[in-house]
Amino acid sequence: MKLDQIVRQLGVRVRTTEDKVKEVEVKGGYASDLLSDVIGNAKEGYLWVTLQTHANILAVAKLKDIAAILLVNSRKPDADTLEKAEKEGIVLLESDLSTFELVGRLYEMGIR
Amino acid sequence: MDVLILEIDDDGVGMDEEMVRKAADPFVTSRTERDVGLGLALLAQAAEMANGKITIESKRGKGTHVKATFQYSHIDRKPLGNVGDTLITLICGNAEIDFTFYHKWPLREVRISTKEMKERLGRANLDYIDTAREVRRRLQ
Ligand SMILES: Nc1ncnc2c1ncn2[C@@H]1O[C@H](COP(=O)(O)OP(=O)(O)OP(=O)(O)O)[C@@H](O)[C@H]1O
Ligand SMILES: [Mg+2]
Repeated sequence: MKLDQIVRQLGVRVRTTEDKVKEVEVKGGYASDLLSDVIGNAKEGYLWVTLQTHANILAVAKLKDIAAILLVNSRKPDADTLEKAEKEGIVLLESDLSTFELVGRLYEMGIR
Repeated sequence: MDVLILEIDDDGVGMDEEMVRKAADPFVTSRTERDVGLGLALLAQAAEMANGKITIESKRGKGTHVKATFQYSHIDRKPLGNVGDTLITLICGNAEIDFTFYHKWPLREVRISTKEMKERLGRANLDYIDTAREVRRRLQ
């Protein structure tokens, strides 16, 4: 599924690298706030759902070729995180919903 | 004193001033196999989460000193984890490096030195059995 379909259907805000949203393909999803767990279990092309806003999430996303990072509960990325995400071409999304609600909806949409 | 202090000293290649400034940036690394360097970035994040910070001092050709502080009672301070297994992996995976480990609690202290272990056992190199036995006995 294309990322922009997810963005529209969930009504999430795109914070960085907007130009990539149309082209990025989402192959699956993973939800975790423990970076070592994401390194171990997330796969290339996955949408990653997390509450972490530290710039280290970007390096993990880059390492794992994550499709996009979705921040939950209206959490705002740190200024440093926004700047680095744009520079590294990583899509950062923001939602007011909780991880539980977002993952439920994504799963219903067919993201597994 | 409500603090946990972790200090690592080495006599390795060291860093110049600019590198010291950037070393904790997760996108800064001198590795060539990947373009992220997470070690210091994750240590800094862990310290900051627990009301602490890291400081790095280094001199090219001399070595490096890394210090991380954590508020011991902070709810988000990560547990120390399995220090024994970490040490065993470090020692066995880097036979050419001598390690000295020192842990001081309020009422107890432990020191493990690979140089002393080699002398006492009369060996030039430590194998896995020697290392695991010594480390586990001392950290009990
Ligand atoms: N003790 C040290 N001595 C010399 N240079 C260091 C030292 N620690 C870090 N550096 C320099 O800082 C860079 C970033 O270090 P960091 O530990 O954050 O990531 P890394 O070692 O590159 O990768 P990783 O830790 O993820 O395996 C290193 O690539 C290296 O150039
Ligand atoms: Mg490192």
